[in-house]
Amino acid sequence: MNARLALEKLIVPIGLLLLWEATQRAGVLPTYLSSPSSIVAALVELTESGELPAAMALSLMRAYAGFFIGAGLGVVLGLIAGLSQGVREFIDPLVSFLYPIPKITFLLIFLLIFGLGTPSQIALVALAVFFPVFIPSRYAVQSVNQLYVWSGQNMGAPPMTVFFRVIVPAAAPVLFAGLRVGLAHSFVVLFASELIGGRSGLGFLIVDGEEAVRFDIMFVGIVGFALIGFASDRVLMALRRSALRGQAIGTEEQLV
Amino acid sequence: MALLEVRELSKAFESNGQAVAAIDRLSLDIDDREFVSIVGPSGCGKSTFLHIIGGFEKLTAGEVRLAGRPLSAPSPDRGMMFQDLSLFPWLTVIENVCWPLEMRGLGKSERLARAQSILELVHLGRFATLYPAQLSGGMRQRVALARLIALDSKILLMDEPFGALDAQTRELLQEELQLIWRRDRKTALFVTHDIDEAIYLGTRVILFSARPGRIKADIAVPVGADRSPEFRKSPEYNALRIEIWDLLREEVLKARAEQEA
Repeated sequence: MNARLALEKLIVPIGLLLLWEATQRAGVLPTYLSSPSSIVAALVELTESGELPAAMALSLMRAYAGFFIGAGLGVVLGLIAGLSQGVREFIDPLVSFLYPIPKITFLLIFLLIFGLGTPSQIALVALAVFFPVFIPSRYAVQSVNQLYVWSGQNMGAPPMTVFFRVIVPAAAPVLFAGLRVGLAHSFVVLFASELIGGRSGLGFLIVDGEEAVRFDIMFVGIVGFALIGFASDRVLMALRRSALRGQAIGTEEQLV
Repeated sequence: MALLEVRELSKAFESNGQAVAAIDRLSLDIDDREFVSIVGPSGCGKSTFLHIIGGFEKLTAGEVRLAGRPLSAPSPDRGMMFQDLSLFPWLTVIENVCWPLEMRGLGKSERLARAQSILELVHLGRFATLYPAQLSGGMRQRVALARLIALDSKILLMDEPFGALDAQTRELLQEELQLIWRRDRKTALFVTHDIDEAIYLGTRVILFSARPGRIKADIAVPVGADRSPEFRKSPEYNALRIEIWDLLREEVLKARAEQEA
């Protein structure tokens, strides 16, 4: 049953790959769209030369470093802003002013501060991750069921205990939703920063392939992003499932 | 001296810039080991009254003393049970019941043993490792009751704890609560909109008037009465039911007239 289900899920992607290969060989597709077989060949070539693993490791490091800084600040400040009216009044106008600005525009500023390379890219990712994590964290605290807080206080919990053992777990489903969006943002912004801000990583592999008219290499870079993005999302979702065991019951997501 | 003394308690809310009186100069004495049912039309301030006793909401004027000491912040000496959704959904049944025990500083093995024995008492011993979302509404309220028992308060505050349950489940839980209450006879304040529940459980029924809440009637239910399910069929029970229903009906009509005005 499970094997059949897995097979059914693969029908569409495999069919598309075959169609892509066949149309490229028939000369219908433009060469810049490459073909699955040449992409696999380039993938093997770049893996053996060590270029792809190095680029993936570098991009992953930058994305994660930026994600942890941005998400950490987003969750902590979001929780504090959710709790404190004073902090909200200070931080809300700042957030609504900065949020709509395309984050990539800050790259130039970061380049002036940190110079070309990894620190600027990490800073940009952190900035881009901060907003989609901060905003739901802030609202999550405010929308925590009052009865949970009252119950905690009623059972004799001091304020810090109520915060860490009632408010944080009650807000956790929304926190994870923010983290997931933040994680996706981190790869988007990282790619953009690698186009401009340095000469290494998967983003650079992609532009470099394009400039060298090695479209197969360009696609290998895209596949690399897909792999690390997909794997990271799965890891986050697995963490989420184990953290939210009780809260996911009866909701549709427990099936996913 | 009464265990709980309420003196001239008033509570006003701000609504559209206007002060609305929810409770108006209410005074009440509750003795140790009484089970006081509070009934009244919806919106009469009976839940607000309970929240004030619990320390969750502030009073506007007046004074409340428990064993001679003024009340303020929420505290385990006044254990609260809500209508629904107050269990922590991220914890299992037994972890929920362990929570108040942990706050009291009991060691891990001691609180697990104590929580398990309380769960047996409410017939949930086999469900200790499930999450609240995996239980029916009636079972969830049993867990909430177990958590309240674990809290071991001086006085129990219950805010329509069976209000969201179906009629059969509610009757069974009333019988269980009655048996548990008879064991250790803790002073209890029980808010309900259900007259049958109020009489069946209470040693005393207090009827709140339409808003602003005042005491309209204070009726003793014979303490010695046998609270087996048969009590619900007795002539005393029916006489009380009719008396309270007539009084309540006047207030419900008043509340409705005010709403429509």
